[in-house]
Amino acid sequence: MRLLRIENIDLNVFEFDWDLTWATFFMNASGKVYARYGGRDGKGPDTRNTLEGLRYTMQAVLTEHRKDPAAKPEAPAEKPLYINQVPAAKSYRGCIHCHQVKEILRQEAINTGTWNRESIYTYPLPENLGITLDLVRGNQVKQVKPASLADKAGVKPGDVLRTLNGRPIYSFADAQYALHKAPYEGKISLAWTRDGNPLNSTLAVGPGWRRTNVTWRPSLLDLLPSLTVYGTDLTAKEKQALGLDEKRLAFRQDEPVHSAAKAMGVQIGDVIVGIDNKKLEMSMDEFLGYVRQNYLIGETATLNVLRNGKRVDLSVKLK
Amino acid sequence: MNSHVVAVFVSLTLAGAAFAQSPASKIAPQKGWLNDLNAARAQAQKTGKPMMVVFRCDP
Repeated sequence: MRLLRIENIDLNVFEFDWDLTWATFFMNASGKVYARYGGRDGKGPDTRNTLEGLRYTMQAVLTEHRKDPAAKPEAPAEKPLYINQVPAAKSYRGCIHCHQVKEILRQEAINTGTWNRESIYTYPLPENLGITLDLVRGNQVKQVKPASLADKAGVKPGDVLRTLNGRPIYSFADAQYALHKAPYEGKISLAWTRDGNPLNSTLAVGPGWRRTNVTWRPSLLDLLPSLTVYGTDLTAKEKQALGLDEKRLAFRQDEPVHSAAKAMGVQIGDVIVGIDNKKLEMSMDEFLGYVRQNYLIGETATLNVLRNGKRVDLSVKLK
Repeated sequence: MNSHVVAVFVSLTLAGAAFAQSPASKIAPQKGWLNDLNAARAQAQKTGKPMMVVFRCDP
């Protein structure tokens, strides 16, 4: 018999980033999960995975397993969660796609009044704390961003993460899962070793710490807006003439204007310079991605425009 | 296949309609891989090996 449908999977045991097309668990017969492998970022599906990295994680798993092959899971088993038993799944017919698990659980949260906007930022990157992990030795710190939370906690390149948010770390996927289970705001514990010596700290994370590029996630396609403006980035000279910094967002709306943009009040030749009065330093392409990463369909925003050299603010409802 | 683990392959179909005709169901069984989680657990219990459980959404 083959397991072909996610309806048959206990999602409380096999909780993973359901937007992925590939994910791996390492566990024993008792259900103890040693490690995970997989995970990705907005740059592409393979940027965080290597065969050498998989081998490294497998070696770590075997070492851990040999210590106690019958080890039990740390936490008692939760009540099984099967996606087709979630009330919001009733409107889904046929096979449920992996990413639809997220859509169903999100709809269920909306229906029960427990949905939080920040919950769209699932499986945060360790970079959000300032840590870049090694591609092969998945729990070894490759880089630490200066002045980041990890830097302030004393983490250094070469250190080996042991636990994050109380969960063991052997891979990038482990780190993402640990961060996925961390609070939207509060404290995250971190333990690591340097030359074999144990170290630990607690990181205080503030609102928005989970935010990463989510535009690749199929589960969010119905949530992410497309701002239907486009055009040519202004030259440095043109920006200077308008009193704008060289790096500042500024592009001129081309012809024809999309009907949705027209409905927002955009006109040919308008120079778009920002949204919600934010002084953004980026190109038009980056701006359109920025809007998809930071706003949701149905939210309102103010598009900042220069028309004939004068500032015009257009109130838009994002679609 | 690494002989130190029991390998489980869980293929999650992207097909929308006919289960029996889904791309996932057309994948030929691969040597060393199991598709039954309970059987894999039993084998892991018997052999003392850990399991490698792979989830894959078939394109």
